[in-house]
Amino acid sequence: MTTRAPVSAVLIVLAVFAGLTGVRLAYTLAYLMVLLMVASFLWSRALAKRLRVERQSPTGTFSVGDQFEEQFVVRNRSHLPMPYCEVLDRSELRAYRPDRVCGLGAGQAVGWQARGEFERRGRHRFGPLIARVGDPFGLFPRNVRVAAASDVVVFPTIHHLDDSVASWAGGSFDATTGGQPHDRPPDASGVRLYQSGDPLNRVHWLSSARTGNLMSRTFDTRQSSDQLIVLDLEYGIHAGVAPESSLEYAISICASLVHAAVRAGKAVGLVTNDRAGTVIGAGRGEAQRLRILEFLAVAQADGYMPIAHLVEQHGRMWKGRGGITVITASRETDWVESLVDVGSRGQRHLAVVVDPTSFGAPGTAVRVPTAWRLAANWWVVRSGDALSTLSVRASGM
Amino acid sequence: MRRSPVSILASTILVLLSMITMTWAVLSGGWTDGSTVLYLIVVAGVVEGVLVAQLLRHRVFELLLAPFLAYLIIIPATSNLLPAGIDGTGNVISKYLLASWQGIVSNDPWTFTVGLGTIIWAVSYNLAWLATREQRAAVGTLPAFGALGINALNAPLPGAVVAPTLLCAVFLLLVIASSQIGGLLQQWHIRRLPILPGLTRRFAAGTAFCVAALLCVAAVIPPVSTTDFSKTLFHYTHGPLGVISQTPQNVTVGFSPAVQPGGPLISKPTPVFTYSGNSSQTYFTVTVDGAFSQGTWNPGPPLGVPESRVPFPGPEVPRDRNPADGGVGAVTATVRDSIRYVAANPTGDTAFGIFPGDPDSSSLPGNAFGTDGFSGLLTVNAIELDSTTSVGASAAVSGIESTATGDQLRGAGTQYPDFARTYATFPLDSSDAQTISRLAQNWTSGTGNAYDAATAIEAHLRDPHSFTYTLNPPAAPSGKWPITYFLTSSKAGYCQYFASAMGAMLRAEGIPARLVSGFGPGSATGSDFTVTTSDAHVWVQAFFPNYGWINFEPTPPSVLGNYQTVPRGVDPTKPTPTPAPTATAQPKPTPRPTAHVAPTPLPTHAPGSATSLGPPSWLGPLALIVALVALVLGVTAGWLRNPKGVPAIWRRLRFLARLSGMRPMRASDTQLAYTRRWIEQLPGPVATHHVVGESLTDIAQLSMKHQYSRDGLAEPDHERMTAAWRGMLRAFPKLAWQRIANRRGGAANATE
Repeated sequence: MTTRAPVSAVLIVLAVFAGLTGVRLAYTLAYLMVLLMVASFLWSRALAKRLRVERQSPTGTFSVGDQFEEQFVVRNRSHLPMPYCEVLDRSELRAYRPDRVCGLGAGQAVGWQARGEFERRGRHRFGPLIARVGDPFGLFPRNVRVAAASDVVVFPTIHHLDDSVASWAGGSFDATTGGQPHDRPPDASGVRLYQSGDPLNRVHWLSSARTGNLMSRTFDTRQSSDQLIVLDLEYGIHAGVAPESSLEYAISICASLVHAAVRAGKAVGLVTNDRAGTVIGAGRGEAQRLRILEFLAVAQADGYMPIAHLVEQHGRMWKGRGGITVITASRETDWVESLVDVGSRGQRHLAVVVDPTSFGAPGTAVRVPTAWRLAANWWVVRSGDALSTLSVRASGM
Repeated sequence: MRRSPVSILASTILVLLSMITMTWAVLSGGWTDGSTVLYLIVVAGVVEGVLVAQLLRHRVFELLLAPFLAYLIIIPATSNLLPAGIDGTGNVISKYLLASWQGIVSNDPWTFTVGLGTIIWAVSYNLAWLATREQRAAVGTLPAFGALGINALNAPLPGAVVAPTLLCAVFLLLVIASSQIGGLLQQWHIRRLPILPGLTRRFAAGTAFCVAALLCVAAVIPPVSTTDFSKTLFHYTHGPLGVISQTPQNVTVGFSPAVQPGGPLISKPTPVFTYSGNSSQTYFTVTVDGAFSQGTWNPGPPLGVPESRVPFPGPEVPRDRNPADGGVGAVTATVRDSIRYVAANPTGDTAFGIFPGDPDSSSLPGNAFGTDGFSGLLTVNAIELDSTTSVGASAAVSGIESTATGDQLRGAGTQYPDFARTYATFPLDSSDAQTISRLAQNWTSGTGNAYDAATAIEAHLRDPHSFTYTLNPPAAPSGKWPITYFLTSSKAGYCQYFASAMGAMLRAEGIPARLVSGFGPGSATGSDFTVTTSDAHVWVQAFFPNYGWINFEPTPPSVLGNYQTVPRGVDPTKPTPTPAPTATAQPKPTPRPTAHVAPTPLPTHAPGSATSLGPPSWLGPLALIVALVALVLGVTAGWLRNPKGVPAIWRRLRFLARLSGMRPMRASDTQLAYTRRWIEQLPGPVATHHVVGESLTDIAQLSMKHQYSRDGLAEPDHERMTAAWRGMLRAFPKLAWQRIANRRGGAANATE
């Protein structure tokens, strides 16, 4: 509540008294109130017009967890002192409060730094700012709006997955997993330093003799090791509130797999069932990684196509090109059949199930039947799992 | 969330200072002597208000507790002053309750002190409570400013209240600012907003500078008008705006043969006599005060001059009627009136004859007192009637009025007859007399004759920028003549002050002068005029060779009387083109409520006109109604403009909907459904619909989000809500107008 109404009432009463009686003192009091109103109006107006708020914000791309810093400077360019100035940031960055309150003399400036951390993926805008100034009597408070400074894109959290998970995702970066998953004979593609656990029949003796170190052969299938990731963004299947939501986990896993694949030189593509039906064709390199991460930064579960259709539709076209990774929180089962259908001999796809019940969805926890385990690799993720050590969880599934 | 202790302490100190200065202002006004008691009550009121605000959380308790807290301090503080003879707890309690309720209008000192103390306590408690708990000090200052204003307008000693009143106003503004910063700090604390160093210091400095500058500017701006209209608006009053003045002395305005300027008066008009005759413009002479001593005037001739007593059986007053002797003027008119007494002994214990001018004839026999002349009395100082006058008695009287013009008086010269010279003695045997003499010389410098000198003095005294009429003049310091204090310091008084001062200054200038005690012409009651005790008046007569004693009116128009200068060259018995109210010209028989009435024609009052002077009588109630309507509209506008929170906005929206003719919201209605219904019923062009529709939809959606969403509204939502509400407010007047226009159109169509 501003004080304008009661002060106006006082002014009216005193003015009536003065006008009726002609008493000088009553006039002086009435003048005092009139001048108070006029001076307060002009004061707050001058402050609002001559206020400048400068802001230096970061630009570019960041990942969740990155730190940032902003610089603020408030200048009072009027010839009147500024009793108070509230600088309020209207950015939608969580847990970031660069707001300050200051008082300034005529022509003075004050600055401060604010540090924050990007806690959520997305496209974030620094600003706008609202500066609230006014006279000291609360008669004419004013808001000055300062436009937004810059936008940043915050990628989802990227975890460094261990090789086993990466290999499950359709590629054989290193044949460290026990047994031969494929029926087709592998081709030796290179050698590397022997690592503890490598079978002796993989030792390449000629290279070992030449280099003086034990060298193991690396193998690759004849199939392409490209990777197609199918991300389930169907509306209503996810549970939880960001950042502890199945959607955020799914997106983070997706980003991590993409990151790992690109770093390994593999081509990776992304298919989603969001409202726009986003499809990012397979590709390699940093540009592809950024393309997918930019999409993942803003991706929302707003689609209506069932994941089974998506797997069926894109899995057929992908046949023979490499592995398929399905990331979903769906508790339906038909998509598993679709995934198995699009498989081929010697090709095991990866199914990443983010268990929605662990994020608060009703129902019992997801269980993977044995038959499904034989048909594909399975990775069940629950709330609180450390995503960088998934192999442990996966193997123990 | 409570305010910080430092903020509360600062507010408390400012509230305390403002209330102490308010009490100082009241006490300076001369209402009462209970200074210690009132200061104690103020301090207690502030402390209680702050403690209650900090300790209790329920407003209802705080309100219920207030009377007990008030009496907790008022009773102990005033019990030792309680009048004797009041026994029993019940009697004491009832006495206190009565005194608290209406003590402010009482003449009893104890009752008045209790009443005043109650008001001051209430103002202090209210302000302290609002300033420290509610952060609404601006609301709390309303009664304080009201008390200051009433005190400024009605104080018995108006000159003394200026400094404390202005100081109190400054403190009240600082209280508002303190409350404002306190509220802001509290908000910032709740919202965890970091505050950079130096804010409170800059806030305080800026506020102090602003208030000081405003006060300086306000103090030097002259008033728009010094005319007092309140008397014509508020009848039956004893002071401006109808507030009855408490006076230390309960002296009522009435006839007094001596002119001794004293303390405050109160006006209680009581009819004295009625009259009709051939004029209504004359003053009624009762006694002449020619004896000046130590600043006061007494009946009779100047000191050292013998006074004769001449019996007369009537009707002719035994006076020397030869203009050459100086007893009467050469150019005069005789005013004849028939007087009927409506009060016994209107002139006090001694029954004096009442004459419309210098005594000429009376049907009532008596004894004439005056200075001996050649063929009768040269001056008639009074006619003492043989018997007291009773109610219903009547008398046919006549008086002599000069009709000399200004030019004639300017050329009258200074060849005064011997008896007149005795009226020009003014011994400079005291500093007061010397001061008056110096002042008279200053005022009359540049004048070339006695008449111009007299009119110069008269004009100075009538100047509203220099002197103020009041029934509550400040008391002169001990040892100083009241008229000297009046002329040099207070510059405020009633007719005795003005007439005494002018008479003394005329004598200091060597002009024969005397004062006349009597009555003004009263007010019309049908074909007659009624004179009341409050019409008692004193004026000045100066002597001019060949023209005799000439009336002067030094008392200015004021809140209690529209005194005008005496027109020259006018025969009061004949209607002239100059404004001259007659008995038949007065449209209303209502007696004038004030102490004194102008005896001279009023400039805007043409003869025979039925138009009364000043604002019409309905203007007062109309102004009151307009003020009330403005107040209600202002409060409603404030209520509409400052909703706190989403539910408040929704409540106001429903209020506007009801004003627009919408049916009440049904239990089955969602907010959105209700606003959609409203949008469908909206009158007017599509453009307005669009704006209003958007605002309404926004408000409804956000209200629903606020009500049903788990997280409530985010900050941008609040801003959107506020913007939508403001948009709605802006568009509503147009909608209302369109609705009225549509109704009219509909009614017109129905008529066709």
